[in-house]
Amino acid sequence: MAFVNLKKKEVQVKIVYYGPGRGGKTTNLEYIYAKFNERIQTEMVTVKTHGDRTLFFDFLPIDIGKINGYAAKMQLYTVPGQVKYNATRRLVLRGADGIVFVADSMAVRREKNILSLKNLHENLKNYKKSIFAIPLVFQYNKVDLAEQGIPLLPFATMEKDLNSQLKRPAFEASAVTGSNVVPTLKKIITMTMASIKDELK
Amino acid sequence: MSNDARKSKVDSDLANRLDTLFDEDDQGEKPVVTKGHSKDPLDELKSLVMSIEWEITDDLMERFLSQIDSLKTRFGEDRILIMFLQLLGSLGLYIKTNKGKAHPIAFKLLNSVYNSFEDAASPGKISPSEKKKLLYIELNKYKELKEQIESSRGPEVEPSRAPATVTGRMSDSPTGGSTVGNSSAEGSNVINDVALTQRHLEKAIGDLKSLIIKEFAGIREDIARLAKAK
Repeated sequence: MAFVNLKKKEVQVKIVYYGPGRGGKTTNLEYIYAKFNERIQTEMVTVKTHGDRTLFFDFLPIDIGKINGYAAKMQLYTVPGQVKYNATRRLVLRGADGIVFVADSMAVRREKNILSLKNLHENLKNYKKSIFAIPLVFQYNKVDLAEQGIPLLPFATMEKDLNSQLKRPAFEASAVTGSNVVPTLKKIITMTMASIKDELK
Repeated sequence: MSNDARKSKVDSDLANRLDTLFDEDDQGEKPVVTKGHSKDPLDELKSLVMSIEWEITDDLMERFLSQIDSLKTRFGEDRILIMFLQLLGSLGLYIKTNKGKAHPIAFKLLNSVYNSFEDAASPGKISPSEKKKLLYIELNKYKELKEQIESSRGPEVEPSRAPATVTGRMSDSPTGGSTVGNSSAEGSNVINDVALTQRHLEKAIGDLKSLIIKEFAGIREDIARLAKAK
């Protein structure tokens, strides 16, 4: 639930990047931070394990500016993708207003994507939220690996596996090169803000 | 303004803001600054403090205590920082012994002491008197925590559940002769430490008090001197 401070005219929105481990969630945030650091003027906080994996979460606050007289602040989080960190994932997911599901386009990760989406569904249920109701955008990441001859799942297959019932916006992307990282972010912000618009009176 | 008009204004405001903010054409790429696994012992300690919030394992607590030790060597000359480290070490040992049963305030205090320590250890960030003040505040919180634990457990509860006291001794030997999984040996070390180091805490607080009294006396003298000069 977005935090709306009517007195201060401020709205805080929490967007969580979710998905399987090594899928590129942190890379999404790193790209946004590296590219727009001067404009967003905040610091990205990343806590990694020894193996360079996200153990807790990454956090990137972004001040969007005034929307309908309200100072809009986006808080972008990632969750640790590794299966064993579900308790952490659940904690980070608490209070999420919008979700970007970063799926891995590599063919060998097909099952992991599906399991991770199921895990998202379960964890949302834990907070009495429905995956069908929350603003959600899919990002099929790592499409750049096709150039290296790595077998990837076709867009249609990814859609069938993950998005056939949800029918949410989906982007093929490469977080490493930045391709479609920003459109994904814009889309989830727009969808999330639309979902809380009635509160911004 | 009608509801529809207001909604469309919000949409267009938002679209404009996002286009301005995330225009990808004129931005030069910058290196990402992350707080990742680092060789800096302070960063490492911070990462361990954050880890303790999520999960408490013997391995993690051993690493935490050993990191405290290495920082003691690094800040050996600075008495205030050493006392901060002793505080962190004592809290760490208490959490290690009690794990999930540790008093919830112990975790908050661990964070608070770390944050104050970080400020105190950053060159030029705060003045020496502010450093002392921060230490004094944290010591008081620590004392309050000890009192709370002691009053809540009553006279019958085993003393091994009490937090250790701030001294050099405990942190100088983080393993304290105990081994992972040997809770009775660990408990008895903590009992000994509590008994042996109570005096040290009282002495440390006494030292701080006399230091503050001296500083106030100095300030009073200065004021009197200035008043006479007028």
